[in-house]
Parts: sequence; C-alpha cells; structure tokens
Amino acid sequence: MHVIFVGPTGVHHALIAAHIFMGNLHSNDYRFIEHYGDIRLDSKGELLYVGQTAEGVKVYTFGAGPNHELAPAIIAGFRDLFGFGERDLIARAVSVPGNLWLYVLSYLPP
Amino acid sequence: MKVIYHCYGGSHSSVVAAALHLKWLDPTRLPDPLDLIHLPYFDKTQDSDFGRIHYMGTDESGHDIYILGKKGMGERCSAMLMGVAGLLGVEHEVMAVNCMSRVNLLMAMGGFISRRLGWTAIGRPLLLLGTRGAFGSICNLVEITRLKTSQ
Repeated sequence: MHVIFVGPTGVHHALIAAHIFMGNLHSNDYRFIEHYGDIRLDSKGELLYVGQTAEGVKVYTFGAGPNHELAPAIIAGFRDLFGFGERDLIARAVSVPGNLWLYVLSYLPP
Repeated sequence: MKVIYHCYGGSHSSVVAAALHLKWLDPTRLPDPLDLIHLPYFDKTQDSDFGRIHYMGTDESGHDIYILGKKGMGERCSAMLMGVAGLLGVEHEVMAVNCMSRVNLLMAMGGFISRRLGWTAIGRPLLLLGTRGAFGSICNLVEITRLKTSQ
C-alpha cells in the first residue's frame, strides 16, 4: 500500500505529516528531518519517497503548489480509473494556516 | 492507453483537445462558435468539477480520452499523475497532457470572466475568439499526442 501526503510543497508540513504517520518524529526540531526545506528537491515536481512503516506501507510526499487541496481528489479519481482502491493507494492533503504564504516565501531566492 | 488532457478548469482547452483527438472537430477547418459550444463540458463546468477526471470517449485505436481541471497545479499535475501511475505499475498505460501552454490571453480572460465571475455574456465571446485563435496550436498538441500514443 502507498500513502501520499500532499502539501503546497512536499518538503515542509507534508513531510512532517509523513514522519508523524510513520512514527519517526521524536522531536519538534524539524531541521533534522531529511530533505526538510529542500526546495531544490521539491522543484523537481516528483513524488518524494519518505520511507516505509513496520506494516509495509510506503509513504511519499508531493508538492502540488497553492491548489494542493485538489490533488487527493485527482489522485483518487486516477486510481479508480485503473481499478485500484483505497487499499492500494491513499492521498491526503496537509494544510496549515498561511499555506499560500509559505509556498511563495519558500520559493523566494535566498 | 488512457490519455488525460488537463487545463486550469477542464472546461476549454482540454475539452477542445479531447474533441480533436476524438475527431469530433475537424483540424483542417476552424470551428464555428456553435461547434465549440455544443461540445460536452465546454464552458459548462462548475466549481465541483475541479479535480474530477471526466471521460470523453474512446478513439479509433481504443485509447480512452479524459479531461481534467487542475486549477493552478501547472505541469506538476502531469508529474503527479505519472508518479502515481508508476506506484500503481501502470505508467505505460497512461499519458497526461498539459494543455495550458496552448492557451492564449483571450482564452484565459474569457474563461475567467465566464466561469469564475459567471459573466457568460461577456466572457464567452472573448473565449470563443481566443479558442479559435489557439485552435491551430491545440491541433498541434493533439497531433503530437496521437503520434506518441501510436508508438
């Protein structure tokens, strides 16, 4: 089974959510999460593989931009086209207050 | 194979592309406004249609043709769909085609006024003018897509 956490970027709160889901987050110091804030990686626009739970669930993040809330519906519709279901793949949007600002600010040059 | 044409609203350029792919429109003749208006979903979608993959038809080679409105996801929508296809092991059975690069300013303005603001009487004439202007470019996109699906 695959789980995808979708945020405006795949390297901020979606990544934190993925680590919480996997039971990996033991501290609030997110800087030490692998790939956290790595905008170069996010700008590739690919699914980011985060890891696997003890139950064998493979966890990913994806940065879908400012309209990321739409992505889970698109993914679910796409999955259903091929006859797969929630047992195969689930996508969840991860939102925080100020989503849009975070997205814009994270892509400003340093 | 499944071909998914996507644009901002799933209402204009993706619909025209799908119609061309399915040969509902003749690529050698500029469509009349009524030809466009009579296309399913053309300038008719609602907010609830965003994110929904709509089946349009099956082409002569057996490829299923769909349209999708993905709002401002841009090219990331194609990357996302192809990434998910990879996870499901169907990456060779799908093609996601972004139509936004073929949308001109009149289409974008007309579409926004007609769909977002709901001022169809003002937006639709602009949209139709823009769609006719972009028609050749959309034909080109569909031709490329058809060639890729035949490989």
